[in-house]
Amino acid sequence: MKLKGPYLTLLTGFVLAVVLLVMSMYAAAKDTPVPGYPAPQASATSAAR
Amino acid sequence: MTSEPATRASDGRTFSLLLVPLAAGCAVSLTLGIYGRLHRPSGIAVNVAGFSSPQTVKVWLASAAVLFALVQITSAGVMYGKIPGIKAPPWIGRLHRWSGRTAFLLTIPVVVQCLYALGFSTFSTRTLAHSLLGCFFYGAFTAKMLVLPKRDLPDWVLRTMGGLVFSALVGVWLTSSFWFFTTFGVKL
Repeated sequence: MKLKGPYLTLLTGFVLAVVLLVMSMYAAAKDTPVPGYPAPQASATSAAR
Repeated sequence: MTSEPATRASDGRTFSLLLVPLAAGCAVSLTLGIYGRLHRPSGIAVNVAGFSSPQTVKVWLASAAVLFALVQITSAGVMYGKIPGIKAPPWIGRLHRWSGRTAFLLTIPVVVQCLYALGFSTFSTRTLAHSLLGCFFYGAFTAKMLVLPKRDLPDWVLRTMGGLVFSALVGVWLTSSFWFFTTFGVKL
């Protein structure tokens, strides 16, 4: 089945968003704040350091 | 006075054809808003190399998206014969579609950073307007994409949705990138 253009656009955007979200979660899990953003509230791991 | 072609849907049928796209658009807007509100902002998100900060990445990507959106709305004007003196070239439809797709895809890294790192912000009128317009933009865009394949809808539906999507994107840009440029200056 060939997806029509508009559906393909939505699907591409959704997949891109999920990939970027997972990458962001990975970055957050490493607990390495990006310079320029307000620091997140101290997590249990960072507070223990 | 022109009348709608006979193949166009009646008012009742127009409403039923619009029901699913509008419901899906509302669902997308609400989902983004609720996620942004409930999710604890991480302050962390993926970045794009070559920029001085995540904010500058976002303001430039959003500005590029608005630029492509301007191309799209101008090409729509040409296609519908609303720009006097310009005859629509054969490639205008392709330009219209690809400028829209590019604009939309450029906003994706921005919204992921916004929602994941910062969340739905209400601490000032600007951030509240930005958050609301951002959620509205993706809902309106989703509805527009779902309406596009429905060829028997009246022309005003697509034109209205296109106008709403464009206005929402410009509103999002004004409350973020434009604010950033006028507050901190233009920098990479």
